Amino acid sequence: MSNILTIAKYELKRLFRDWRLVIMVLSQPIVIALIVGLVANHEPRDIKVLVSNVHENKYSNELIAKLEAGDSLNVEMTSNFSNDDIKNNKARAIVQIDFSEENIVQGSINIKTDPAGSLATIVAQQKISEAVSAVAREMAQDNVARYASDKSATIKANLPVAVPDDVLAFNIDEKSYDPLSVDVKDGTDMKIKYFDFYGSSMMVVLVLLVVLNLSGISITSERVSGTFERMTVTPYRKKDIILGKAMALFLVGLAVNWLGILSLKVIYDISLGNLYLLSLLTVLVVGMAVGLGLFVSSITKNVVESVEAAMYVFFVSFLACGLLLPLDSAHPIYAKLMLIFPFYHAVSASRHINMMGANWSQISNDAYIVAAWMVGFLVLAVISLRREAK
Amino acid sequence: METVLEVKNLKKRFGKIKAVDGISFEVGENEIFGLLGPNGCGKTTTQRMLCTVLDSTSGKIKYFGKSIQSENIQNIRRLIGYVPQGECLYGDLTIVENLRFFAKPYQLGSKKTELRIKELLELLSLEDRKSELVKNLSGGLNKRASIAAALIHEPKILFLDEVTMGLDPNSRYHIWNLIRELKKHATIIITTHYMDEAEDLCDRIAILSKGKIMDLDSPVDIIKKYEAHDLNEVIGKIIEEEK
Repeated sequence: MSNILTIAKYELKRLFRDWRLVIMVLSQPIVIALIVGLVANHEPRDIKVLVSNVHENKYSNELIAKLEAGDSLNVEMTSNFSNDDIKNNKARAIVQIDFSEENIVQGSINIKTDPAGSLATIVAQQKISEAVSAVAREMAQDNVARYASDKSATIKANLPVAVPDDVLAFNIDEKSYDPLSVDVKDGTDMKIKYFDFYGSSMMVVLVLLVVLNLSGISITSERVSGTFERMTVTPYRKKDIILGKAMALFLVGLAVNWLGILSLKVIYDISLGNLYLLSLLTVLVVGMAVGLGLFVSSITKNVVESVEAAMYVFFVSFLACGLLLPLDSAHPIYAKLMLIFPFYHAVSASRHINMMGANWSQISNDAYIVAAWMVGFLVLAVISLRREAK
Repeated sequence: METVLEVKNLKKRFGKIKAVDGISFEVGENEIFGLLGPNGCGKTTTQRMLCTVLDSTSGKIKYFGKSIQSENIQNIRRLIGYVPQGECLYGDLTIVENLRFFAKPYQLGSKKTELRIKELLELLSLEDRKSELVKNLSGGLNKRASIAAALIHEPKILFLDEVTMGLDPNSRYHIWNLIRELKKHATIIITTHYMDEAEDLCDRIAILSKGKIMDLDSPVDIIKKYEAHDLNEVIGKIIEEEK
């Protein structure tokens, strides 16, 4: 143990004597948190939506009024219902309201959205769904008596988003004529706090970015400088070297992680869940990142190779962590891989703690998987560490 | 004279290349033994195998009769001090911090470590530079600090790989004197390009070429045998014969 502590102590000493590196490492969480906040702190506003009102009537006007309410959507009228406007970047979504007041069941509400619009498209879809749901409910209530005998009367709304059918359509059953029980659920009642969503993920991604790079070159830089060869001729063992370095890098990683969290809290007031749980998760995530970085460093033979490998691993883990796209959208095989590796679990646990106030039993599975990989990566680093670089 | 190191039919291959091709020799107590030869002859590879940095492909290495293949490698490493060809100390640590770092795994205890550091700083004339970062030292001082780190645990065998390479004459002279002094306490195995160094310091030398020992004897006897004026001429003749 004393050998491990000695290696950790001198590793930290060396690291903190390179003040340029210290500034670079410790400024990253603050600067990146600041930028994340600037990029993702607001729900998109003034999202351009084109509306084609084919048969102007009471309900279509009401729908347009609902779309125009608030500052999320910027509604403009159009006579076309064409993809060209989306391709030409004129709008994130186009809504065609095509039914008459006299015959609401024969019409439809059609929507086209911009697949490249990212969050703006999602928000547009959400807002349109909310408006359509509300108007559909009203239409149902107003007209249920009129269509009481027609069992198949349905307002069709072809939305590209996955929402329950009964949000957008209603069937009128003569038996339910009285009372007017039209079950229109509001499928979009959950308001996503976008900044909390991205901020919680960034807590994990930040650690991966900084710690992977730092620990990824930890051994190879010593191979290049000659100190590693010198060390291997002494009774320092492989596990002393890996665990000593891991301990030092772990402390740096913790500092980076908490600087990131504090920056997100102080500057943007991100939601934080149970701090004990968050601390535990932080320990596991940093440990996992350090283990992975040291594994990368022990299997590569020079600094360039290590940097390339660390960035490679970072990018793969970034794509697998669910920050950009949810597990649901992944290819089934890749989704399974996301569940095997620790990155998705780390992000998922962080989001659950911070956004939903999850307790230990709700994140324990994720935490166990991250912990298992932390140990696994460290063991792999020890096993794969060679005295010689060849 | 007790045999400190015994090497038998030692081989090392890197893929298809035979870097060391079945060499055998013995080194006695308090002897200065030189491994000489042109670039790529296998002397550094040999030394790295002897220091446990590289695993051999085949052959035996024994220290005090104990094979490194069967003995606990940590016990073997306690016997060895190693100064590699390039820099081997942490540039961002001071000389004293480096010495403490390399002393730690030998479990000398803090009192003995500090005493030993004091002795070595005196021996190597580094007392007034002890608190300087190694990266700020000149080549000669850096090498002396590396030798101090290799001697921290009083090794029985000291390996010096091209230890005077790139140093000015004054630093070389200083290190030569040091090696002569160290001979009283340890067996020394050096690899060098400088034939004058080998002639002056070594009790015996092994001349390597293409991974094989071409000759092994005292420098004087080898010079006589090849009817040469110095070791430079001997090496030249050996290379010619090889062609």
